[in-house]
Amino acid sequence: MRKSGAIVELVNALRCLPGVGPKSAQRMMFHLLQRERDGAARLATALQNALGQVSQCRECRTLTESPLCDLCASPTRDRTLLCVVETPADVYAIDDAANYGGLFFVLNGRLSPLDGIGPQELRLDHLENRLRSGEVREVILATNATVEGEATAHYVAEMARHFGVRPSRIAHGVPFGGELEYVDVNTLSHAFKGRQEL
Amino acid sequence: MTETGRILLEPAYLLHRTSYRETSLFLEFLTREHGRVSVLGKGLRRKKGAAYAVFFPFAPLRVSWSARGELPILTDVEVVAAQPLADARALGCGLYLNELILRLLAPHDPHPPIFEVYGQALHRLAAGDEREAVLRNFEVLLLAELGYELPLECDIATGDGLDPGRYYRYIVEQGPVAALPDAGAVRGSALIALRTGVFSNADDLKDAKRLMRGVIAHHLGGRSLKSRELFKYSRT
Ligand SMILES: [Zn+2]
Repeated sequence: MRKSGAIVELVNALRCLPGVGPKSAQRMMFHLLQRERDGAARLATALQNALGQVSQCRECRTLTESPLCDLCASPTRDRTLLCVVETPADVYAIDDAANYGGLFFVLNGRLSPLDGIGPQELRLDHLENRLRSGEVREVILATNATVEGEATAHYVAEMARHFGVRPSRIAHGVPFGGELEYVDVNTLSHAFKGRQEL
Repeated sequence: MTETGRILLEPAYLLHRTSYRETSLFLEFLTREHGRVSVLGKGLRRKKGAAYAVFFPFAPLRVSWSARGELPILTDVEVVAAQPLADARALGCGLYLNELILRLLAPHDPHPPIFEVYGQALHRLAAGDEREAVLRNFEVLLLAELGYELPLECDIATGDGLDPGRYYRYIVEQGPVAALPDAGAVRGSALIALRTGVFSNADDLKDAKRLMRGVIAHHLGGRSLKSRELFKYSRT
């Protein structure tokens, strides 16, 4: 059977979603066009609207509909605390989980020299200006525990010290509820070195 | 040249990993007997915790792979010991070593001495040895093993041995020539330190760093190393 151009286009477009291969894209297409036409229309409109309205916050670079996101615009957040994360998803995760009342800065990536990503590619001059302004007292580095995440944390920490801002790093170690026997050697050795007095 | 067959428990270090498609990792290893090898870790990104955390650079590993098709497939990996670099500054130096290897060493070109020298450099960084000295020693030994040994024996114009108290201009791929102490000159003591691997003062380290930067840029066709940018705010 020859498939029409619009169908092929939809299947190909659906494949941009994570974890969606040709087979699942085709199943989604049938579902949307046969059984869920109202839902498909809502999805199309919502996507169109979100694309048109959502962009990066000019202060923290998370996703927002206004020039300034809710967190950055809020008068109740502590503006002397700045938590640096890799992605907007990390902002959501920390804001949900931690009792944190400060602001965020989203890197939208990490320093990865072996992939050609340096301070300029990450546009870290944004963060530099923020630290230079003198409003921030403490920078909390919440980048991933990968080698790139650690290198990024270190770079930002030195930048912070340069501008007289105190850097701190979130703790890494044994997962909560985890048993030592099943923790890998790298994590365990890191957790051991980072032990704290009780 | 590509190899075929099964390689079992080859001593290796992970140099770099990148995501490959949805669930896999593209892993670049430095191995003892097979040199630089790229291996596909299928489905690895789906794994959580221990299985995934194994793929951190600098940890001594034993890696098994099977090389039948275009890209060798990872079949097993064992972590021999935890990655030794505790502080982030040392991690940055480790990334610099990895970038040097990825840029200068061609794939499938076995150099067991480079594997050994790399392991020693990581241990010295972990032990808190003077980092700049560790990096310079590694650069000199890596280049020598790749056939770009630095002439550091004598003044190439006169044939005289190097005088630690004099200044020299270093001509890449030729060697040192006695010169006036201007901006481009390096101390004789710095050249001797590069040859012997023993640095005794900060001035020599500074001169050696400048000299090696030029030499490496020459071998990289003028391109610079990206991991140097990590040290912009570092106080050395
Ligand atoms: Zn914001």
